[in-house]
Amino acid sequence: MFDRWLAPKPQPLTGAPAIRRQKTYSGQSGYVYQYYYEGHRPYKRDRKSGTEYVFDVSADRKTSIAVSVLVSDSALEDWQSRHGRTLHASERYAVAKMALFQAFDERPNPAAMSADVHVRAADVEAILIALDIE
Amino acid sequence: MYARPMWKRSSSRWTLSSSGAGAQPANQPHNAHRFAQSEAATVYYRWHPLYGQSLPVQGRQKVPCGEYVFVRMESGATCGLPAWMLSAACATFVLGAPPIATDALLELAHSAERLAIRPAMR
Repeated sequence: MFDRWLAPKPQPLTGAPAIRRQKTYSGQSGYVYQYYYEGHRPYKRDRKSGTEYVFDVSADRKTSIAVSVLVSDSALEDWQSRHGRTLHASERYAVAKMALFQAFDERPNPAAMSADVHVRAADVEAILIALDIE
Repeated sequence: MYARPMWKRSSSRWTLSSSGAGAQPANQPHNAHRFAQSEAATVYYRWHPLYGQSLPVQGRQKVPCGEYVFVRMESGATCGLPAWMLSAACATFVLGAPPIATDALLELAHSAERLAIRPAMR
């Protein structure tokens, strides 16, 4: 309990569009999710730092949960060092969004979406190949 | 929403009988290309909001978990659906206890993944 009190207050989210746009994703799991992009902020957890992308997700149009997609700096640095360039903000967002879609596809039900989505170096590589980004 | 299109043969060419998106005149050159553009798909998965509708197909994309088909909705927006939701077999799906334990299926999927049987994302 004290850990939560002592933990630094998360920074406010930035980068969301002024007017929230609801999007729909039909998952391979059979669930149809509706989501909004809420914004992103830096994070530091378990000795890892990176960017947390937050999405408001609903599967029943009544209740929604905030889903965090954690893209660690180390996962991006791996790709960036091999390709000799820095990923643009839009490309990093694309990685986060594709990771969210992958979770929609692979997690068996909406309850499982409450867990954070962690993007590893291998995920970054696979997603950027799929998006044809070099 | 889109009416279910009817394919009709006119002279030597197939055309859509509806006047909706994708219908092409019979004398349209490069008809094979146009034919592909006017492909329609019906959503048979009853729990999808587009259930029962036939929509023009805009494209397809392979993903690690299968295939997505992109259809154009009446609003003009594009919607991606898992290809299996467009299979007529979905019409027979019912709610009830799973005949196979989902945990066992998930374990099988994870085992297959570990053995790299599943194709890598491209």
